[in-house]
Amino acid sequence: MAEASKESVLETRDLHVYAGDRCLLRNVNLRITANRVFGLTGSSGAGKSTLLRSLNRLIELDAGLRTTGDILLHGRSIFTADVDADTLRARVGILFQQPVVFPVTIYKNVLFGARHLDRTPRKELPALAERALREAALWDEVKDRLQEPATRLSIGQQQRLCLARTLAVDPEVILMDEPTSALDPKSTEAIEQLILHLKATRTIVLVTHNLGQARRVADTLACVEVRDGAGEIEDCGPCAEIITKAVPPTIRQEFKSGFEPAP
Amino acid sequence: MRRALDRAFTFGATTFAALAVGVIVLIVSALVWRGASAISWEFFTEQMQLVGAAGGIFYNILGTLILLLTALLFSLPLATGIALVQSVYLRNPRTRERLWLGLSVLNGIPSILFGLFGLIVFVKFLGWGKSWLTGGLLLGIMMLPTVAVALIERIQAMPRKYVEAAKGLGLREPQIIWSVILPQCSGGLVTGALLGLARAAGETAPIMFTATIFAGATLPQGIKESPVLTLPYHIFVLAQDSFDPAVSAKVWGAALVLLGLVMSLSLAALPARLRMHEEAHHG
Repeated sequence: MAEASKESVLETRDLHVYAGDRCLLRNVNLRITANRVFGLTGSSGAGKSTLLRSLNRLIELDAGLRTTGDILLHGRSIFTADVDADTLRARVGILFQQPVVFPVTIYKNVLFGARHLDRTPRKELPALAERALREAALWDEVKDRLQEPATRLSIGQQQRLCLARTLAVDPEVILMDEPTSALDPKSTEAIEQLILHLKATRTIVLVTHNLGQARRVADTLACVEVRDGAGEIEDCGPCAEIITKAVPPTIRQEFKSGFEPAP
Repeated sequence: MRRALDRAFTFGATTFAALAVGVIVLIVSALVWRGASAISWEFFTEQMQLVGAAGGIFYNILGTLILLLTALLFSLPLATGIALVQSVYLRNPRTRERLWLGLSVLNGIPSILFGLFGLIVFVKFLGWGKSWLTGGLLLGIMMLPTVAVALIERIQAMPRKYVEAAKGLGLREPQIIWSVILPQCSGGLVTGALLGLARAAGETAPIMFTATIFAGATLPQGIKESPVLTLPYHIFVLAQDSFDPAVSAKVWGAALVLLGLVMSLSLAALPARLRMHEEAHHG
């Protein structure tokens, strides 16, 4: 299969996540290939977000969660002693469900991560900010108001600002946790367009509730479902195939008539 | 029956509230009534003369301000450190509880014990004699729980999403503290500091054997044997020892100035406190 021949960027091996003694995620084995959009879907509470957050070790912020198994980034474990979690998170960025803008100016928000990584010389920062804002399709809307508080932007703009902030750090993988579920249809469309555009240069893992969205942007789709109290990967494969399998025929009919067919 | 009980309860509550307000009004009006005549420009700018019967309280105000400033400079970094250890670095809830308990104990220590501690350690053991620095340090330690607790409460009320977002960008812990936690929680630090200072300004017990004398001090020149004049000690000595009616008016005046200082510190903290409550309930 074409998928298998491509290099895998992220790979999970027998990944389990526990909260105390309780198993939240069981035996997750996924291969996420470069320059593709990897969709994660499934019922609420099945552990999609937990799985997503374990990919850049963000779940370690919860003192109660414990991981076993392994996650490989370009074939190397992200849990070995020489891997620094903060550096990892700069390489594997994340976009949350609700946009989280800091109570500072738009300009400072864009550079919030980049400024602290000390990779970019100080005088190149304005150019970096512009590049990131352009990449997130926000530049034209904010170029004249960079010094305004970011909280004045609409929610949809805030989410694109958060995306720009992540892009400014230049991660190779971007994890997205239902990035459009808080947004209006127009902003949702903008984000989906951006996802399709971004996969030329990055790898994207997208958690989504919305099968229509999965169909529009995802190349590969994995379904997380609860079995015996813990989330498991029920199915994983090319997006169109999984959707056909996962959705009962009657719903599939409505689904097909309600959305544009995938190109 | 229930209505009567209701009424009695409302009546009781109102009476107690009125009583509390009444006491405050009584104190303030007594101070204004008896002290207002002493207040003048010279009262603030001249030094004390004739054992308090004439002149002003310039050096007493200055001394109190020196102690407060020292206490502030000492307690701010310490309280910030404690608050960060408590709410960022300590992962074990039991250790956190112990630190919290420690702060409560520190807050409950009677102020005269701070005075004795200062007398034994700084005045005698280190041989500083009476010094403004001892007084500032002691008041700083006394303020510590107030400042630290205000900051801790603020940090705990801060939405976790900000820390998560910063972590997700690859920021390190110290960077998150400097650019996310402290800027968003500085209001807690300001509130705590103002409340702590308001309390410290009126303290007499911790400084009476360690930092302040009644007369004969101006600006401190060094650390050893360099006490300052202060407002609370001035009031304490004159109220106790003097029967001179000329002194009496000056004491009331000094008390009014001290009250004004404490009240303005408390009032300055009020907006930040109200905002914090609003955020806690609606944020």
